Amino acid sequence: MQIKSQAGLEVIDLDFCEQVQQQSQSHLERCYQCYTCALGCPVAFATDYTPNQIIRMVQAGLREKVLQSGLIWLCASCETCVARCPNEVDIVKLMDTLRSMSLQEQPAKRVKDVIHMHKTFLKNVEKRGRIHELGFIIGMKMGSVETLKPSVQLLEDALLGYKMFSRGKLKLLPHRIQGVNHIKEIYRKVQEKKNQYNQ
Amino acid sequence: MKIGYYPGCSSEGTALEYGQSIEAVAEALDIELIELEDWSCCGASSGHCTDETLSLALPARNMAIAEKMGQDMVVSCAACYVRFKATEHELKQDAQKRQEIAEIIGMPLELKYTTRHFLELIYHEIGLDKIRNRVRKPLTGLKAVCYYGCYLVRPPKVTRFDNPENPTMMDELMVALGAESIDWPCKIDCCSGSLAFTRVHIAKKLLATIMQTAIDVGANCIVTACPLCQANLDTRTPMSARKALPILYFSELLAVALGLEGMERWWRRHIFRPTKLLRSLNLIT
Repeated sequence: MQIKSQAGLEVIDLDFCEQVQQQSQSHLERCYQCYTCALGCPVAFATDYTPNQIIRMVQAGLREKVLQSGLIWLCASCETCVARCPNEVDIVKLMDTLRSMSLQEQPAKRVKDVIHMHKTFLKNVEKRGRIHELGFIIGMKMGSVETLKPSVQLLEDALLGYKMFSRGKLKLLPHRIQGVNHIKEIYRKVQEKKNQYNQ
Repeated sequence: MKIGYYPGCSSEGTALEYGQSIEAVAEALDIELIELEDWSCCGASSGHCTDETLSLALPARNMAIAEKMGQDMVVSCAACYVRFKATEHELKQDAQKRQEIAEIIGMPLELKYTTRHFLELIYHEIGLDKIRNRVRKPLTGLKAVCYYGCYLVRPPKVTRFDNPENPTMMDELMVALGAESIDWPCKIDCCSGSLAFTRVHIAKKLLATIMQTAIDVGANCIVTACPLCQANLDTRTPMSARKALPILYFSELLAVALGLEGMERWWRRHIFRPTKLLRSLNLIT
């Protein structure tokens, strides 16, 4: 159920917090804003919110703000916050849940390429059973127009690609496991379960 | 000893030297590695970041294969390690989930066996005394900083690997091999993981701190136990000699100290080659 905040500036989803708590089992209600997670977070310098701020926003029902945030997708899942939280809030589990939810709804446009990277990885595994690194890198670059725009970074990446290739680090041909149909079946069943859950 | 072996996807590609050095060291130490039949990807970060069920099912398939073989399994990649441990941890606590996952993979899953990292095997099963006795070429002059990264030590309740803020297993191994292991503050700092693919500026900042700190404390190499940490440090830090150190796998150094052969094929795969350092210390020809 959604209501508007008193000044009319925010849309508050009164069910959001409980939904997230149920799905994540992260004990986010225990957070008392000590900022230990924020201080240890390696990406905090480059994102819109720190982990504790996301927790507070979940508690406050700010669904859209949370699911459209950059942090949930730039979180490196390094588990530093989890290891240090004095209340044992499982922040990475929380991030996983928020990531999953944002995929069902609408993630921020600026993290489209991160999501594309994950999807490319999993498609690669579905097709072959194992990651073919060269295929993964190509798939990743091809799917994102921004990465193909001429830039210093593109040149640097091209040079790096050449170095890695010439040192034999990138296997040219993919390997397909024998049980690749088993993998496809696993993916199918997982999708089926997800469809059931969403009905 | 015999143990199931899960090589991991990168040991066939970008971390080929890691895979080969693990296998060479295992053979030298009489550890029989029985490769899991038709093993598949553990799902790594992309699994758990997008779909919880998939992130459990992909590792579970391999765990079921190891169970069928009647073996624990040993891994070399720290990311694979944490995925297996996390799956084991989650499914042991939730019988219903375990049943669901067993149905999805279509294989029995009783969780009778566990996953170890190769470093754990060396430290706990082989023991540093045996290692010390087998050293033929002490790594004298090597000033290593041991870089554990995230996934060996975190989440602490899941991996129970070592002290999560100040692990020492790799340091002790280096000392047993005759090297100097320098204490430093970046032991367990994040290398940025898969952000090195999508947010290079974040990766560069994190990696530059790690590299510069290693140089500042007087190290001449960084030792790792994770293919992505190694690749990130090797590829996304400045190339000039003053600003870079070779990044070596602990198994490569173990192989040098044990006096094994055929290591040249590993050195030339590193982006920043360790040959100059190793030759200057007379550790290789």
